[in-house]
Amino acid sequence: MERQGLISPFQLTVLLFLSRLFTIMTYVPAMEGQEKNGLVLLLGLLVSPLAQMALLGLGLLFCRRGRENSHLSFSAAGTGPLRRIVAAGYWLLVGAVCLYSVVGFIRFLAEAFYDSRFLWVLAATFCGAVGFCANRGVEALARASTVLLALTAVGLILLGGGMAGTADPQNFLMPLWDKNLFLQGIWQGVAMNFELMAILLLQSATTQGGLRTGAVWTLLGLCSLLTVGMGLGVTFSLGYYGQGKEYPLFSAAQAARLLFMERLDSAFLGLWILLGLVKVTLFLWLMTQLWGKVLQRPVTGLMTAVHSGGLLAAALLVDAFHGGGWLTRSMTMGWVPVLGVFFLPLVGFSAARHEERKKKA
Amino acid sequence: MKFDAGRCSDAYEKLEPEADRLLPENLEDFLVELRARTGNSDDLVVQMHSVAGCQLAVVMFEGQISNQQVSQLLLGPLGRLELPEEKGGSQGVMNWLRSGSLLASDQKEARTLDEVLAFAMSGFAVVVVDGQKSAVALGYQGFSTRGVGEPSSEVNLRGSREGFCEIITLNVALVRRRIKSGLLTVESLDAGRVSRTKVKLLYLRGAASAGLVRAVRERLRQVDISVVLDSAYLQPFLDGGRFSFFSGAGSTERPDVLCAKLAEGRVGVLVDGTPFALIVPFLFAEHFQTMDDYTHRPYFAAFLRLLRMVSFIATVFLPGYYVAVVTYHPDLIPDLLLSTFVGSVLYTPLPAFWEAVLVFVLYELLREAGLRLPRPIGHAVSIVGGLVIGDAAVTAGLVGLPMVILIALTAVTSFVVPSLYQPVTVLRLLFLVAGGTLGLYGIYLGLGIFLVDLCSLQTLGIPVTAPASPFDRRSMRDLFIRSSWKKLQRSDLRVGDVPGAQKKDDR
Repeated sequence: MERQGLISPFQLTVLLFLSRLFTIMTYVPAMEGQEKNGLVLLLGLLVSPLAQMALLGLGLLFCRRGRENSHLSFSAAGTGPLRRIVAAGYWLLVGAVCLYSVVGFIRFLAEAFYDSRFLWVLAATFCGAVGFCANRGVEALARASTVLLALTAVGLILLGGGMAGTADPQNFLMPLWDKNLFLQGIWQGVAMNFELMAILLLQSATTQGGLRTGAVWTLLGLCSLLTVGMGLGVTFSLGYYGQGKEYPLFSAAQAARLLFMERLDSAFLGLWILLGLVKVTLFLWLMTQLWGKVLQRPVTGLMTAVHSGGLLAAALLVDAFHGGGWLTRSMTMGWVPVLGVFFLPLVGFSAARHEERKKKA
Repeated sequence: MKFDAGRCSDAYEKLEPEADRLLPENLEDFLVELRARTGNSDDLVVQMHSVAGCQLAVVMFEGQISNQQVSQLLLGPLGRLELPEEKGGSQGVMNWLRSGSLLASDQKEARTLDEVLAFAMSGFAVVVVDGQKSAVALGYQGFSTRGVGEPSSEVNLRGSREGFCEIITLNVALVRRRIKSGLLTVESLDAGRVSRTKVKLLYLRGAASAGLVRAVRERLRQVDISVVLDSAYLQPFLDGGRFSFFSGAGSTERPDVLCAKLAEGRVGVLVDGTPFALIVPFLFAEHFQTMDDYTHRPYFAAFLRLLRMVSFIATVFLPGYYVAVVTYHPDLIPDLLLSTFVGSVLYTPLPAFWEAVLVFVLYELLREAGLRLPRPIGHAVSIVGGLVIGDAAVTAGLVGLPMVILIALTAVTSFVVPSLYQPVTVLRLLFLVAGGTLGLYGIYLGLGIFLVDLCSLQTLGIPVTAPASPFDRRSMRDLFIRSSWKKLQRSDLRVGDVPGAQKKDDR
């Protein structure tokens, strides 16, 4: 792959935003205590942006200290075993996010739109498409994301307009104060951003001219606003009916109508598929890059194809053994991202420090 | 008869040009070599003359030169030529040919046999004097040509009616007449091992980057096909280098369009024998621009551009979307349309997907037949196909009326952007298959793949999707809409300055 990673800070911001939006669109507040989670979500949404800002701010600070402060570039330099281990660790983390996203993607489609018997067809076509797009490189994906951003804006305006028609202020009730559920909601909201930070940390050194603080804050602000906006929109539109739904925004889109459109779930579906493609492609591309660092070999098309096939096999296995719920909990409760975002950088940092001291000595 | 691959390949090897040799000083030797090289071809004309005490041969090819000009301007003065003894001999005749008189406005010198042949085949009369190491080529081109006419594939309402023709020198002149500047540079190349087709590289120094020009030149030099008959033969060599539905090199039949592109820092490639010039690099957004956009009022030009974009989207996606919705998601259809759409599918024997494929293939068949046949018969085919077969198919209940309307509508919209007709036709079929097999999921997934694939395409270091993505705010004044000339004049837009372009070197 030539000229990989030469994307602008704006394009990186767009990629991060679209990846985040994919998660926001199917935000499931919690798996337990469904009757109260919709309300907990609202509180969580109001507090979690602050925590997100703090976390992403830290990540940004780290990235801006120098171009070499990307884990992707850190893993690329040198051939020491520790670097390979860090790269392999990141490969696992990114793979987990990738798998989680694919499983969630096909599960939603199979439940909401298509017959579950054809889940393997959906998985195969999606993984094939993702492999193809990843093979085209991150530059192509970043450019396509700019166009998709415009399409997303149109889609969101349509959804918003449709939901406004069915909104009822009576649906908005003050949330019940439940300490445990409240904390759980906040943590889930924050944990969902760890994968965002992972991309930021991995990708930052491959942007032209480094990251811009303003762009990241804009991104964060937009994500938080959208999260809150969607939460409020769903609550206004569906009320208590939405609390029992696994995909509340999708249910709101199904109920919404707009002039010439009977239902807006096709707009939701379009956004969902395109955003899913962007997110999984980005992570699959990162996976292949990291695997190249692990093997100390250049990334080839075959490597991408093997990763794509592996992803398909893993997604089907997870689904066959009903591991989707476990995977979702692992991601939303945050232990996988914590490992990736806190533990791996720590190892990387200490290795880098160790090498620096060695050199100085 | 047994096919002998070895002998066949030997025969092909003989088609390859032989190694170039310097001209033999002896005229007899030259003629022997010339006849051997041309296989004693019948259209080779060699006239022997004895002038001022020395032998010379005039080498020409039949039909390439103007006999009247040769007789009046060359053979006449040669016959009357008398040189003093001290200035006579072969050197004296050669000097007279070179500078002693004005025999032709286009006068060149040939030092090798290949050059002699190349000139003779390009409408030159080559005078070879016995005892001389070089020959003089005099341009008396007299072949009949199609004149400069209105371009048939790029008609416009206002502006020039001139289009390129098949003569490369005339095409260069058409460009030069519009850009009377020393900055306009023309370079000559040969393409095709056997055909040795003349290729001209045109660019504006100061606008086109030297790196871009060098890259185009290098790529054209690497072309190693035996015969080049059209500029389209060279187009793949200037593309991005891998398969894509879209090309990174555009073509135009209009000199004014080429001039506008040259002013934006692009490189033009003219090929002898074809009225289509290549433009490199060619951005995707340029498919939606026409020369008329710049002569119409800005608001109308903007309206037309948006119309073309909507047409492109409708052409590619509408049939697939319709089939997907009718087949898999009828609940998305508004109540008022539901009975019409679903009814048309219920009362026809084929599923919506096969119905669409049938009408689509039928339409393409009729189009192809109408295109290749002589015009009067082509019109008849269109009428029979469009009216008789179409109407009969609907009346017989083979296909539904909405499907016919849809395919007809997309057929019309596909002609709104003629330069994209080829990719659009195939993409429409692919999206039809995606929608028919996977429903809306297939359409949206296909859209994602299509976008990423299009965005990955770059020609000579310039992304074809620029300046929409990578985004450039400055270029927006001449992208989706066309701003007024007052705004456009503020600063020139150069293709090398679009974001994402690899900077090669200074202009």
